[in-house]
Amino acid sequence: MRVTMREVADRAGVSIKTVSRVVNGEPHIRPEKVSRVHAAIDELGWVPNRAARTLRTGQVGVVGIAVTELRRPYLAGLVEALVTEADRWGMLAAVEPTHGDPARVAAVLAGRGKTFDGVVLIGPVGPVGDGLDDRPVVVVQGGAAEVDRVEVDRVQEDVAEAAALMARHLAVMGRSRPALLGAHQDELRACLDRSGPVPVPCADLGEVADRRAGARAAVQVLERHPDVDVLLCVNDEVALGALAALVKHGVDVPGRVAVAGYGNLEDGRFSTPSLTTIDPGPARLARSALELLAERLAGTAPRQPRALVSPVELIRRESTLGRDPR
Amino acid sequence: MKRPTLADVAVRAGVSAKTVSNVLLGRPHVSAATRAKVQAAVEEVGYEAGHATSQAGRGLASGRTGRIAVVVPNLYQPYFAENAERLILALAECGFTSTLRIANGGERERDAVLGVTTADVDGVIICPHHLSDELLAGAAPRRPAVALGGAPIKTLDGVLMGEHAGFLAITRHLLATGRRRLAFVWNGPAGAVPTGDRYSGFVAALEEHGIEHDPSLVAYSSDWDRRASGYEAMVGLLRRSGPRFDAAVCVNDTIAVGVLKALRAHAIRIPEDVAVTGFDDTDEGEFTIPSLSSVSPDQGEMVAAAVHLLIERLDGYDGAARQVHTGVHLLVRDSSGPA
Repeated sequence: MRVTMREVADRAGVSIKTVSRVVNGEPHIRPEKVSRVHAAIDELGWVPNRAARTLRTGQVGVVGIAVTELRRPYLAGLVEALVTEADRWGMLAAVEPTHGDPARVAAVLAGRGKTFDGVVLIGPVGPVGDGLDDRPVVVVQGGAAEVDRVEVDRVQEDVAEAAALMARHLAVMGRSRPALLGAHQDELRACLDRSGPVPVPCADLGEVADRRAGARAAVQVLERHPDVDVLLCVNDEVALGALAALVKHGVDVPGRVAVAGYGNLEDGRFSTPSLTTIDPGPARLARSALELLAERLAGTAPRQPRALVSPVELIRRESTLGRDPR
Repeated sequence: MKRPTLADVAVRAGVSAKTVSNVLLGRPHVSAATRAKVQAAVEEVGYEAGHATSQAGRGLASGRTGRIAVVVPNLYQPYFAENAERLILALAECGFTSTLRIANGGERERDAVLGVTTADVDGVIICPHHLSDELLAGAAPRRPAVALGGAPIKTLDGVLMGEHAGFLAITRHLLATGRRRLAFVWNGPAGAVPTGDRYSGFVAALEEHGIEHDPSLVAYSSDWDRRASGYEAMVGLLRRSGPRFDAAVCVNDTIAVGVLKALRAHAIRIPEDVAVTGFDDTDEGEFTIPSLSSVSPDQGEMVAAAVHLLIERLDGYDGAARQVHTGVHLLVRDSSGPA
């Protein structure tokens, strides 16, 4: 059941009008009343509703979420997490597919102040321009490609930690001859190059890094580099395609070659073998992005752009560990 | 419940509707006291300012926006994410930009169709989960709206997917390859008798072979958009009935992916011991292990039909709601191979 302003007022022992004035930061309210209202808001977990906030701020209550496409399950999941967070802030979310078209991105950004209060851009993106004012733009990393150095607030995954976690896992599991499927972060390449004597082979995936591309690339890499003992895939879709192709060709995973992905798609729990991967924590990324956006809208953020680095987690599963003994 | 109006807010605040409007639109020359009074009244009556003023007002003032809202219940079900992308691309080819809305729950679906949360667009294409005649209660959308999939709705143009035909085809395929004890993995509550076009297609094929469906071979899942729910359903069936079946006909691909994993966890071989089939032809089905037999509801045809219906409405067609039926085709892969 949604908490109302009335309940906050009752809990604080003040009138609704006082709650409203406190929330709006109006002057001439006794400090003890202010703290009682804040305590009641915290206790009840009250979030001001959209209509009430629209009144206070003149905002439309809509956040725009620009994303290249929805057919990539990781992006769809990140969008879903952003919509859920917007909802928690009492804002409607409008998801704007751009297909990487700069004109479309520009149109979404130009919608600030009219269609949207602020925009979350799922990166990588080009130059953004303004977005540190009350018409904010927040860039959030959408997969292995790092967020560019943009001049607005941004939320990114801890790619250095992801690379270190994966490299350590491979070392522990005795995998020393990796191949990369798809263009990875520089951090991962650096980690692997440090630990191995020869350059790491890297397979090009073509236009779309999906299951089909992963299946094709896995077979090619093993033909050209038969001694490779682990495939590090740029995302889980590629890894799941690789797994399917390897099993189909009778290649023992992880006996002969291990496979790891990036993204922690739900599919990876249900594949056979299940998929070792990095969880970038889309829910955390989304929460941070909306918090940055909300602070800009509320006018409480510093003038400089902020960069939040969000923690990642290594999910160890059968595609590197082997099957559970039964 | 009736949606609160501007007048309700005015009465509660003891001011004129014009004053409420001035506050809502952020116009100057309203005293702080009046503003606070109006804000409290809006909160008390639960009035939705965002829809009634800024968005609807702007939409009406500026005429066509060239924007269409694509509405789905969620994006974690690949069927919805993939169809949303298909719709967005098809609309772009016709010169429209799209905005996607997630409407989780019946009321949000209704609000999206009726324009409450989609006042900023020219029209709506919704892939519904819950939308029904009861939910709309006779209300017709004020601007063009089309349902893609879901049950037929009297007041809404709709594209009806070939659910009966699809389940008839895939069940016939299983029977033709020698399967006889077919379990139905369904999205209904535990113990309920299955209903709907998917089940009727399944039963119709069994009847052609003179087989009566064993009601103990129904698996129930709590959420047909989650793979884990297919896993859950199959574990439940195995607990209740044991492995007394040679095929699992799943209500969709997502459920089937969970079923594959559950069978494997119980050391049941696919397809040797049990054949598994899905429905939807999602991207992952070709790459499961083994690859998943499914039914394609011809999403390309569905999407084209939906866009066509919408454009006819935008071009001024104002007649009764229309229902377009689309076809299906069978995709036989490894999961329903020979026993």
